[in-house]
Amino acid sequence: MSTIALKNVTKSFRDHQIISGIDLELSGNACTVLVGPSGCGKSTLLRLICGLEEPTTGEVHIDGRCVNTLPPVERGIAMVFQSYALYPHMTVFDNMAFALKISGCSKTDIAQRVHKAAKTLNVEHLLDRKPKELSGGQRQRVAIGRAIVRHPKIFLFDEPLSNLDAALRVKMRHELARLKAELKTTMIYVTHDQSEAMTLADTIVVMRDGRIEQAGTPLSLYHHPENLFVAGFIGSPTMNFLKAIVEKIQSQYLVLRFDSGETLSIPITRAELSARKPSLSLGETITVGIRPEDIKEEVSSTEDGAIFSGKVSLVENLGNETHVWVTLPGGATLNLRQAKKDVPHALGQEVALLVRAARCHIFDPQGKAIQRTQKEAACSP
Amino acid sequence: MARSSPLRRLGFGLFCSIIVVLCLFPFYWAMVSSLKSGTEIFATDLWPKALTFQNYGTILQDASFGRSFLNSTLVALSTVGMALLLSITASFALARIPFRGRKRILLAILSVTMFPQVAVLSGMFELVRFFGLYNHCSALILSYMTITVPFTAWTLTNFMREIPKELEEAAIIDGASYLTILVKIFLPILSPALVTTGLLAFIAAWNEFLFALTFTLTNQARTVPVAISLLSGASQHELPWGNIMAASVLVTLPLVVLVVIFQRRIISGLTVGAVKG
Ligand SMILES: Nc1ncnc2c1ncn2[C@@H]1O[C@H](COP(=O)(O)OP(=O)(O)O)[C@@H](O)[C@H]1O
Ligand SMILES: [Mg+2]
Repeated sequence: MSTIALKNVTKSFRDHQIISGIDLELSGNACTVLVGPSGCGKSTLLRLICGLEEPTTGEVHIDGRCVNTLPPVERGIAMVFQSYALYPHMTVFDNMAFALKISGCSKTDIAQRVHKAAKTLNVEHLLDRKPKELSGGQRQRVAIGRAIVRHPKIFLFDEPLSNLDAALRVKMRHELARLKAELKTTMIYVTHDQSEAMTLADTIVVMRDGRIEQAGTPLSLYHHPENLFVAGFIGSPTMNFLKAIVEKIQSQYLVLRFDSGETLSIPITRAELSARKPSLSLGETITVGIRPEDIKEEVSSTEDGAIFSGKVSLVENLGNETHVWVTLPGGATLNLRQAKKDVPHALGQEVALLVRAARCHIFDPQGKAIQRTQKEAACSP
Repeated sequence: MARSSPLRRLGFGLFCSIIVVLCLFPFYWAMVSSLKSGTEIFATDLWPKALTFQNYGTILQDASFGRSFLNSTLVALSTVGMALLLSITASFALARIPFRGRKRILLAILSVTMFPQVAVLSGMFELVRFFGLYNHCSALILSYMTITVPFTAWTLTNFMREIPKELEEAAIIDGASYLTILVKIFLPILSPALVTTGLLAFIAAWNEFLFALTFTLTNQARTVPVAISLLSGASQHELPWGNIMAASVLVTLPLVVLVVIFQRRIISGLTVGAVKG
């Protein structure tokens, strides 16, 4: 169990700033997952933590000590690479024993630790093979084994499952979850796969362009995204966004008008509205976000909301649920999630959709969320 | 291609045969000549009327030839050893450690390989005299390094660049020093490349003539190519072609043996399975 703290860390390659001022503190047995689009600096951040790169400015602290100048091996860190990076000329045993041999462990100690790790990962029968004689999943296990034999304080994973096929990825994801519970160490895990992030993380850190957009528990990110980027990044299928104009600002409501003419009054208090500086003015264009599962088809509903009508343009039947894309007259599309028991839709069919006011997310013109307490209350159906 | 006519295939076969014959005939002629005796050597028969190993006997009994053979072996092996040692360490730095002027050094190395030997001959001679190495095998080793090191360093740098960065980084995280990474990770992966470049360096050193002729004076330090050129017959006007041919065949044998031994190790694709699936 370790603490890692990044203090205003930046990293530039030549003139390009790849990491721009990151402050982050992680502690406990938690698994922190870094997510973000490709090229946003996730790997670079990981390499700064493990010491493969030195920060341009700022400090990396491990267990309260600045480790900026400490070589990787002295940081008590193990890393699993996206490409596995197994030593091709060594057997699985030697791959796993390499670090132990360098650190001067005794032969019996090495054999014991390697066998224990191999057993945990179900690769005991492969110890004599070379990496090229292993399947992708087996290579991945060996790479993880190479990390755990060293009993590191901190594990870093850089997209460890991205080279595996979908079925194997799910299986390895479950094994990683089991391993996480078993090892009880600090883990930092980089992925761009949502479901990996949601299932493995105690904390998710969403990054974009070398900055942290938001950090929090998976559910808090899902239910209370702080900005448009996080709202669109977390959740699959993605949140629907509709542009709307502020028509009225009342004491308990914000009345919005969509391009296609519908109006929607969102419950929000004055205090919450004025939390946004400068405060919203009439006529401003804001963005309304609504998750696919929060759109309903009961037109007769008594619930507050706006009713949109449109044509079904795409149906994705996944068996347990169906994703339906509906094109509105203005050209915007809404996607909704139907449970299995609902009546299936045909392409081109006219449907009426209820966007529930209580569940809408609203974002100011700069893309920052305007948080409201009523939304949370409405979240439990 | 699928419907190539028999005529075309015949033409292609003929074409290939001509090339093969053109390439191999000099070797064949040397071999056959070495097995002829006396004046028969001046006949144009493709096969000797009477096979004789007399020329080989003469050469093998010649003590000075044995001495040159030993010199050649010593010079070639030392050259290869030192060239590999230097170029392995140099190429590791050039391929793996970022530092200022890396590109310029590589360019300099490449341009050194372009100089003809004659251009550096007199300068090299001064150097050899300065170090007091004239008529010493070490003069040859030193001068051969100027030919082999640029080539091996350049080749190995390119091979070393191909090794995925993650392998090195994984080793760094495992606590390996640069030396450990070089010896335990890079060299085993590079062994096919090392064998190939080492072999080429060996052949270059083994066959070198100009430096060997210039920097040696006596049998003490002479290498085989020079020794062969200096073989003389009974009189000044008689060249012992039979002996020369036999000696040439004899000095080619070690190269053939080396290539046969190492050809199985000259395999590529050893890194398969290291990175990705
Ligand atoms: N050694 C380097 N030199 C120059 N640019 C680099 C280097 N490493 C990473 N970058 C750049 O930094 C950016 C972020 O890379 P990376 O951290 O690998 O992104 P991610 O892992 O989030 O996909 C990329 O644009 C990449 O080109
Ligand atoms: Mg990456």
